Amino acid sequence: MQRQGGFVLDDRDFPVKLAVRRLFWYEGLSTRLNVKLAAVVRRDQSRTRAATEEYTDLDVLGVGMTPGYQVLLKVADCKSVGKRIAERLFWLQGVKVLFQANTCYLVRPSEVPASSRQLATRLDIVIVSGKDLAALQEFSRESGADSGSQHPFFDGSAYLAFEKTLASIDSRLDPLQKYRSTYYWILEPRRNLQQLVTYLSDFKQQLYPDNKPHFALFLDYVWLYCFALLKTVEGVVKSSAGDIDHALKQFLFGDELGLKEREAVVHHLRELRKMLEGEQASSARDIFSVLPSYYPSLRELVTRFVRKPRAGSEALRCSEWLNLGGFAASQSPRVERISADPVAAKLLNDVASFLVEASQLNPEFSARFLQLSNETF
Amino acid sequence: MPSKLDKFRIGLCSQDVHTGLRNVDPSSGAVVQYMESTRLVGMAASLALTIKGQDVVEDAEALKVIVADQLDIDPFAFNQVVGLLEEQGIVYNVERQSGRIKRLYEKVPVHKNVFEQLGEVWEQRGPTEIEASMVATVDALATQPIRHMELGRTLGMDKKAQQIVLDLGRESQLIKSVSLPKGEEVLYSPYFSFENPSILAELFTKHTDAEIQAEFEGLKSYQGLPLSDKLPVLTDAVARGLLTAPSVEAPDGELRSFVFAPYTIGHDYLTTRKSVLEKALAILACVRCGQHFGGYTPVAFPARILQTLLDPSRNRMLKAHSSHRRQYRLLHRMGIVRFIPSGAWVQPQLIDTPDNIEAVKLAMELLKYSGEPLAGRGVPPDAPKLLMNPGRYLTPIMTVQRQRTRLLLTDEHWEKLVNAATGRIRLG
Repeated sequence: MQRQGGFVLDDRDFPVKLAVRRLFWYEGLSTRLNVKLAAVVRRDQSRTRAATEEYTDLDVLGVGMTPGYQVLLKVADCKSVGKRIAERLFWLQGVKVLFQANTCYLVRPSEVPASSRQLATRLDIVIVSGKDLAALQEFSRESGADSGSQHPFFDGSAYLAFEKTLASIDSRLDPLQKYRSTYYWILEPRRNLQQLVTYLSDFKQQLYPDNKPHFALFLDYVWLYCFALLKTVEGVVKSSAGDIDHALKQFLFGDELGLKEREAVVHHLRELRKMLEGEQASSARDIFSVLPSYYPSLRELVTRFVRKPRAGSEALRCSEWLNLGGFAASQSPRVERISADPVAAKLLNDVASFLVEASQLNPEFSARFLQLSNETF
Repeated sequence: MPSKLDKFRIGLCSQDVHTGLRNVDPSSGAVVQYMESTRLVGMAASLALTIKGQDVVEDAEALKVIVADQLDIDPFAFNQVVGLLEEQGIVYNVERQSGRIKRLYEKVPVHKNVFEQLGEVWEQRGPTEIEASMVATVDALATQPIRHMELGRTLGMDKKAQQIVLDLGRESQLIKSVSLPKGEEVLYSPYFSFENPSILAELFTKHTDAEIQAEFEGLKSYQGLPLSDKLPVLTDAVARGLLTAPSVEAPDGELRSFVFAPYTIGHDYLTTRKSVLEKALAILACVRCGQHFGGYTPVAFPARILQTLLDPSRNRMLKAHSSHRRQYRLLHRMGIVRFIPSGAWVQPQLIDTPDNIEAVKLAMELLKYSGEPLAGRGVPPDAPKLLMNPGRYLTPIMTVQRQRTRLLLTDEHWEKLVNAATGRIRLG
């Protein structure tokens, strides 16, 4: 089996995954293939000497947010052969709990035994056979959602091109790859708001906007940040839509208690410095701050997503389209501009420029992103 | 040249000046000669506030027409105003075709205002002395009325500049006046919601300028001051009908009055939408009553009460309390809240008409820009203590020496520690 950047090039299940991905897309979700679920382990206890060990992966993930601020997560397990369905259903139930997915699909091209369907119903999992999939695709065509476009975005060529570009990144940037493929999915969503910026910031000197793989990496980070923002919006609104500032501070540190604990830690560090260096110890910048320096910009960004949840959800889809349909498929003669919600496209650019500023990346990243966005939408 | 104002005030006053200059022919000599930067910055502030929250302005041509009509932003200055906002990163992705602006993305800050940033632009553009004097005058009159003869001395203006500023201010109705006996005048800002400005003359006859200044300054920084014997000028101003002061019943059964002098360039609030302003003042008076006369459970964070009234996820409803029926009776009578029974107590719930929601937001603004907890956030708690303790102050040279001998870790080291403690560190 040949691997490239974590993606199996001779993946037999790829056509099934693409079909489900297309279905999710027409349901209004943004999608991602082959999401790895893993755990951080001690190296001396790791089978591979790596710092993480993979449990399993999600074949197709669909993400969206309702206008009522609920993040929707759909997971599909796609296999081209229909063996050991009962075992797989129990496994999928575990995945559902672990990933807190709203809906799980077990997709098999062949017909599924009636007993398996009964089990699936009891486990609240949707079985999609080849016949079901064809029917669902037909429904979306009838509703006008599936225009039958042969755009490279749908046929998998853009996806493969994007993954290939990402896989060609030099090994100096391995931690950035590791974060996007593994750590991002291990961490609680709230932590990614700061972690993602930290990773980009730590490699700001090695990232070049005119380097195609580097730019592809940046595009993927923007998608990941958009996803983290949707989870943030959900958390903030649950806490208090009327006081976004305080709700966001709580969300960043888990809850009020978490925020207070961090404030106490930072206070003690400040005191420690005073003890070591005397009362006059001071800095030009407020380094003893629980909140990151980019917090005001983050608050602005979150507020914009809270105010326009539909556009926020659509921004994630715009990001996916930009990465695959705009960037990766740019060499294809079949590429055409698509009409996107202008506010969603703008919010996406807000996210990109926020990441550039917060991580102190080369500002050319924002400029190129904006140019690509204007050319694509 | 008048003494320096802070950037926030400059930005604010520039918008006031631009709003006032709408009454003057924009091509008149004085405006063109003296007010170019201030008008430009003022127009930029007005435009920024207009597009705030839009995200995308799809039809900038239409925007140009609308702001020309509604905000008197000269269509010929439109490109320059947008250019200024673009330089400041307040708008971006400005699409131009043959010199015309077709479309733009807006990034006006939601949680902080643009005035400070635009005030800095005003400074960088090197304003004329007349401009600086005009902005300083508008700022001074935004705090309190001032005797004409005191204006130049208070602001450090020369006579020639003062005359031009007053002529332009009167022509544009940015400065108004009432006559005192002996031919003197009191200057005031039309943006103050004085009920009857002619009463100012009586006030200046009865009280000294210093008394008036002290009490008005106190009121400017704290809207909704509880009236008492210690505030003779404001008590007199309320008694004579100059200022408004809604009354709320305190726990002891006494009616307590809370005085306001809101300053707003939103002229609607002083005319056609005065009812919204009155509702806002009533809301704030009730909250102030809980703050100052709350008995055993005074209101500690007035802003949170207003936030709750605005929050649909909390049904715009306060928690039940034994005092609520009394404290919010005024709002109940004015149709701003309804009382939801909760045992023997009640829970006030905002009646969510557009006017009521706007009134709560306005009350929030009045609270926010009065030096309340919202504005005071972010001040390190230790800073005031250090300022109050001069005995521990070290001269700069001594400080340098102490730093040299004692410095163990650099800022970068400490920052890394803080980042690690707050979860901003890479895992691998």
